[in-house]
Amino acid sequence: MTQQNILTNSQGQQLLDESRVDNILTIIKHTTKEFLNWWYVKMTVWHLRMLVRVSTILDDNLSISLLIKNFFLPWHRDFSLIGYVFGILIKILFLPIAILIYLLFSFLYFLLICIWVLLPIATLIYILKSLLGI
Amino acid sequence: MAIEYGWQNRTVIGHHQKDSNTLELIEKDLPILTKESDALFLLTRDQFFSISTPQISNVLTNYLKYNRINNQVRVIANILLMPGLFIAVGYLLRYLGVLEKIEILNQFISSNIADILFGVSIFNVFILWYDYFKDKSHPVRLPKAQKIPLNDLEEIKTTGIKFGRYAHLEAINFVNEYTLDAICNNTKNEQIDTSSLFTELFVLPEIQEIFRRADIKITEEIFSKNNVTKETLPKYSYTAIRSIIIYALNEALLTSSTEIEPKHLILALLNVFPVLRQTLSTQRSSIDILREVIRYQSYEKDKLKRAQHFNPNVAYYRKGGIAKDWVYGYTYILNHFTKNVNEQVIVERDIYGIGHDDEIEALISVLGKVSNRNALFVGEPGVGKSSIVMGIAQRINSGDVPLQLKDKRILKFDINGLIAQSSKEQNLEGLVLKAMNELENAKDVILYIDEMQELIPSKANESGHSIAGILLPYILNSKFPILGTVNYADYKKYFYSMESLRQAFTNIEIKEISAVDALQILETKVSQLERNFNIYITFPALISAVELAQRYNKERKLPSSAVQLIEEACSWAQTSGVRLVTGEHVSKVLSNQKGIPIGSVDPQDSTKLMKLEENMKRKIIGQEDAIQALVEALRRAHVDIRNPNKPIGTYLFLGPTGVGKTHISKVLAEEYFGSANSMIRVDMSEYKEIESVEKFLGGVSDSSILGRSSTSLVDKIKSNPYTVVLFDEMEKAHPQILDLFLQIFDEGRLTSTLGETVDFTHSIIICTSNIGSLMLLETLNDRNVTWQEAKDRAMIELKQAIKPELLNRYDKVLVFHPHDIQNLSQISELLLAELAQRLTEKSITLKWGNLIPQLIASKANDPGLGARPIKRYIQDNIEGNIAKEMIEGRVTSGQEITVKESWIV
Repeated sequence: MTQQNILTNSQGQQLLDESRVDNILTIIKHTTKEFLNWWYVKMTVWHLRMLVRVSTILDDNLSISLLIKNFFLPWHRDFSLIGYVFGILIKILFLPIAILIYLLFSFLYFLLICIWVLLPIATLIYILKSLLGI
Repeated sequence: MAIEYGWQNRTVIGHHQKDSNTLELIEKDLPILTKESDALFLLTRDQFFSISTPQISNVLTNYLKYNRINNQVRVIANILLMPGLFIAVGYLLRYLGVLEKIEILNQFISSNIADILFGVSIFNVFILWYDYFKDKSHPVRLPKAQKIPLNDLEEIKTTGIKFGRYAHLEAINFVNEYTLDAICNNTKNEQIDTSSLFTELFVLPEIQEIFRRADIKITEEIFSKNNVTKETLPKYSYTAIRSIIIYALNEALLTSSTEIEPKHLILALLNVFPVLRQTLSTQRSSIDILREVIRYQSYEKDKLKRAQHFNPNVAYYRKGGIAKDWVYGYTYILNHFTKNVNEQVIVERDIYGIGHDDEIEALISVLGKVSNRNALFVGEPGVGKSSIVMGIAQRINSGDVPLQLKDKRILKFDINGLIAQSSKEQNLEGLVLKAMNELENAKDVILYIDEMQELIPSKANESGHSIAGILLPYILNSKFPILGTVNYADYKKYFYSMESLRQAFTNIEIKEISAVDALQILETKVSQLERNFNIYITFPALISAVELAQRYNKERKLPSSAVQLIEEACSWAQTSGVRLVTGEHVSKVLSNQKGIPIGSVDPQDSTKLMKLEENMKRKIIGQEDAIQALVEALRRAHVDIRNPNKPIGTYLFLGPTGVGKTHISKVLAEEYFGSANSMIRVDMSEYKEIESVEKFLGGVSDSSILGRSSTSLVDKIKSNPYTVVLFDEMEKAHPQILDLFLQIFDEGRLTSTLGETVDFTHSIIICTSNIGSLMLLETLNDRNVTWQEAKDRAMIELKQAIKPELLNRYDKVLVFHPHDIQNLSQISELLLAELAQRLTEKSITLKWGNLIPQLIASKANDPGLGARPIKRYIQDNIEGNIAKEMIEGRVTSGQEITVKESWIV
């Protein structure tokens, strides 16, 4: 089957760079750019997504949303006074602990992201400071 | 019955000729395009992949250089890491106060140089981290190649590609580093060497594993035999790499892989070069099998990935957590006679519901409704009704269900458990009431009742329990969802009459899954079977299991028939000491079970078939045409070139009585199927009346066991479909019964009154008739009537008696010769030989003179009655006299006895 082409744009992109690589400097420049992009953009976004995932898993495993949504539901659907009182009491006792764990782990992971972002800069400053101290 | 793998219509490959500005789709042979102005592309349903020459040139220029420098950086980073490690230890020791005693070390660790070295080492950790994780943290992922709708395909072919509707992706970005390595290593002086590329790829361990799994054993010798040389796999301009990458991309998309790996590259080469395809054919393999192996590997990889909850690239479904039970009711009593399906699927770790996506979706929509949330699965046994319920349980466990089904438990009702529990508590009604209250209150339970018919009062009475009457009202007015299963026959028998029950359930019909889905189910069991039996299962074994089960185990449905067959083959392999299970082994196991040759042409079976004609001619006198026709049909069946959806052969034997019509069928059953007793003989004179149709189909009125006689034709064929079925004197049957033959001859099956399908595709069907006998016998009495004239007249009479549509469906109508005196003499000889054989068992030798058979023939000959009078004559005169001599003691064991002429004359 042969027919007129109606494609208008098929230029495509270059794999590494538009220019041919002739010297080591271009490679170092490209690699450094890629490293910085990976560390500060790609991985930071990845860590933020991970923070969302960690908090989702914590929320799910500690049943926080579920219990808040069903806060006034009696214990195991025993619709008697004891069931209501016991259910709410247990939730009042459990939820603060669960929320504390949730916040603690989420905060720890957030801290990790901050460390991640600061780590290369901090290391460079450390090296520079040591160099200046000689 | 070859498996439809479903590779078609997922991708479209084409090229754009820039010179002429034309577009051409590549449909059959895959060409290697080297002209720079030829731009290749690949389309999926939603994506458009392209690759350009500058991209290839860029890769070739840069990739190896970058790789080399990266390797050097990696080595330097590792070296620079070492001082950092020592300094870290030093910092620790200084902190602990150990270093104070070693002044030099203490001074060094406290110096700025140590700090600088430590900082540099830390930086190297970042570099190595980046080097190792950059591809893992952000892996490339090819989209899933969904089926392209036929309308879209048609539109592409007629009006061209509307580029704007596709997402444009660059194929080169999905090529992984090992594939780039292989391509760059085999491209020198702007030429790619396909021969060395293939050789390099072929020896890779992962490729060898694929070939092993596909049961392909290719050696250098096989390659050279199939002309796989540097001439047939030549060098091309580097621009040819575009074609190879696009074809490899096609393979990656079809096999649900995430990137283009070396295995896709080798598949592309196997697809492009005819000599390589030929080499695969000599190994009785194909690209399809290799693709299936790779798809299986991708599936296994994907399965592992799906379990990674902390991977943000993998979907996470909420499961409810530790307090999910708090918001649902207790089911203390119910737990005594129910099993938690959600827990069961966690323990069994199988994958359920494959091939039933539509049914699962239908079930989810029923369960998601506000009212009437009951569903009834209706289907043949073995089609996977329970598997769907388990599939739903698995999806609930993973959280991949709509909100209405979140955190639900599926409890399987155990009727025997309830009976046992009720005997303890002595109050069945009270127990059921409590359980039903629990069910209504729990709010997270879906009740699953397997074999739902057990709760119908009429069936319950047959089974001898009284639970149905108590339980049924609750089920009809349930406030909780119920899932039930029932097979067609029971549905028809018990549900038809109960309108209220039918109204309470939404029927979901479960069809037998496709062969390719059954294959995928077998694939999920491979690792478990290999562990259990300590064997290695090749893909041809799985494919054979599906194909053979579909063809020879029609009484059971896929997937259970195929699963059973592969398990039996694995068990056989273990006991026989076989470590690598192949397709031949599966055929062998089935062949042993069925007692007929199946699969590849076994030399022993072939010899048996070659000698069949000879053996039959020794036992049957004067009917060479009939023998020839039958043997030809069996040869066709043996080499698998016959139509698999029809009986092996359908024949009408026409001729006067005593010419050997029934005898030939018996001999055939004995010679081919192993025993004359395996022949099923149906006397059609028993089916003269219209009422006998039901009896013929295994009717209810003919009841003894399960509503029909255990020895009806239906039962006999079901228990032994590999046989000769003889319908004797078929012209005597009622015309409506003869109409049923149309279905048997055309489709190889018959539907019984209970809705069961009986398979005739492995049977030889022989009908006999005496129509036209008088005309045929005239040839004996009147010398002026030739055999051809008599035969033509008999055929005219046959056409008048039998409907043309039925007559037309016989493979052959064979007219049997009436026996002349010479035939009768040979028959006498045969019968005497049979008698001699029987006497040998008593150590008595029977002898007779040359004239004896002729004498018997002339004495017993009664024109029109064929060979039967001979049999009677020998019985009366020869056997009678021998018996007399034996009783009188004149002949004893070890003696010889000669047939006397006086016995005959």
